[in-house]
Amino acid sequence: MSRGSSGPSPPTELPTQSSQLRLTLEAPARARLGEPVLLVFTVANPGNSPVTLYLMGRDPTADFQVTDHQGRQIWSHLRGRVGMAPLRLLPLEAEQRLSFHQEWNQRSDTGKPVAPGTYLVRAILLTDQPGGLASPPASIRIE
Amino acid sequence: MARSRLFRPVLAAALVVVAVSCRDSSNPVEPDAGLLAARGGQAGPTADLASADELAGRIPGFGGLFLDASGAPTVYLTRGSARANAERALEGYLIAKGLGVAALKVQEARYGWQQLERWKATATAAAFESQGAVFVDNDETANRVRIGVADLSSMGQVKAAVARSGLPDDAVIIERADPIVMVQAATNLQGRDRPVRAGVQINFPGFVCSVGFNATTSSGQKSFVTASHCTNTQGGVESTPYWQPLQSVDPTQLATEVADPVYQRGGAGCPNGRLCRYSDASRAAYANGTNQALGLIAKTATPNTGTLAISGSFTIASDDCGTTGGCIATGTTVNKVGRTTGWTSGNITNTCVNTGVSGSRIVQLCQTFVSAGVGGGDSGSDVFQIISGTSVKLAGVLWGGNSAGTQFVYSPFGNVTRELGALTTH
Repeated sequence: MSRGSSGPSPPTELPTQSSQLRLTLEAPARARLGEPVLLVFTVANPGNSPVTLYLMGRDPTADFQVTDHQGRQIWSHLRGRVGMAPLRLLPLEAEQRLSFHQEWNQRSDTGKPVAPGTYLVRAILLTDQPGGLASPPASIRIE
Repeated sequence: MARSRLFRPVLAAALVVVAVSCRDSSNPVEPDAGLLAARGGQAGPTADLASADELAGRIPGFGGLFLDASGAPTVYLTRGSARANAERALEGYLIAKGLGVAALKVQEARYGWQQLERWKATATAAAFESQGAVFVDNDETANRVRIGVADLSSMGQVKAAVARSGLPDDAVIIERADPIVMVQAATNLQGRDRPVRAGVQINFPGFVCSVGFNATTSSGQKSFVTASHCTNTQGGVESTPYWQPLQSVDPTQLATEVADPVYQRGGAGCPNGRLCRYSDASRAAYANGTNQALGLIAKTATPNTGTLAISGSFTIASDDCGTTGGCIATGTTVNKVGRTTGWTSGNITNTCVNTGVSGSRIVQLCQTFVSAGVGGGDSGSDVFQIISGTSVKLAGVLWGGNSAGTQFVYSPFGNVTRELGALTTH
């Protein structure tokens, strides 16, 4: 599981999940076949005031999902894993960010190497909402 | 007080036409509807009771009416008052209860009802000058005005105020009483809920979880069970404070963590390098005076719809067996109520699964998997099997799920009591 950088536990307070968060996913546009692909997911608060996130788990957790050109899910970082289900109230100060780093080894959920082609990657911050907070997709061409 | 409170609704709801017979006998007499009709054109005795005020008008010397500890109707009458008046006034009620008028018990009253009512009004004005006054009652079981006060320091203030008002000392009983707590049932699983039921939101520093179930220990400690990871540190007791629903909404601390066994290496079944327990469960003791509902689980209208609006309660009628892994079979439909996804329901897909917890070195031994909805914040939720209607069997405590929110995992009740000790849940 990827971990986000975060400060100490905050005082309890009402949640304020802001729609003004900036979610970005960095991924290489091209990668050689079989070469690990580094994915970096960032959740930033570009505003002037803190935002309290409602995050599933003891630690901030993100999933990374890869789909092929037909939209079929090829790989999910958290597939088949069981995580704890508390809800963390995490203040994200102005201009603070959470970053998640994950490698994709170009294998599917069944462990098979993927074929050359174009794939879409999304990162999802697990929250109390179904579907969490998802990044815009990034396209990777495996050559 | 319980007797009088139970009796009062009957008194208040009553409307009776008293028989016009002038008998003055203690022997039970069956009502004669024809005679009654001929004499006054009125209906005969009914099973209903008149109000206490009405009885006071019909029974000279009346000082109160109540059911004693054995359930026998008992009337207070001042010295010299005729029992027959009470028998006539209560005849219909007694017959309807399968009793004759001879079953009516009489105790000597020191004061008449109307006098006590006037003193009650006076005492109310006097007693509530003190913030510590809890109640003022014309106690029909004692033929006295009874005043409850919250603490001993208030008792002196109330006594002095009552004395100034001119009530005779002998007419008033002043005693310590628990404060009356306002019942504020939450309308939403994430709202303030008193008495506290299973399934509603709790808050500890930096996190939100759900109440698993209320429980009393063998020593009588009133508690709730939630997940072990819904404490400051998973495993080990750090006296985690809890609030409900949030500290920022109600800053009065609800409970304190008191039991949370540490995770162990190397025990039977625990993989090398891992930390294990049979349950992800902890227990928190309620603060003194906390209003909580043993055996109740907050209920929404329908399962698997995502609604969080509370429409009633489930009632725990039994617990799953005390065996590790539980006794509810694969394929059985179970349910949970939690603060994030509400009431969800689905089938058990796997039992006694040794489960690695994502992102940790923890393995939870012998857990149960359920194909049903879950979300962050549902940790600690009650899991139960519906037996009939709203009557349920408690199955365990939810602690985790998959990232898709379609499968939850719970620690069976037997695993919980194996680690937290025997618990009374209903």
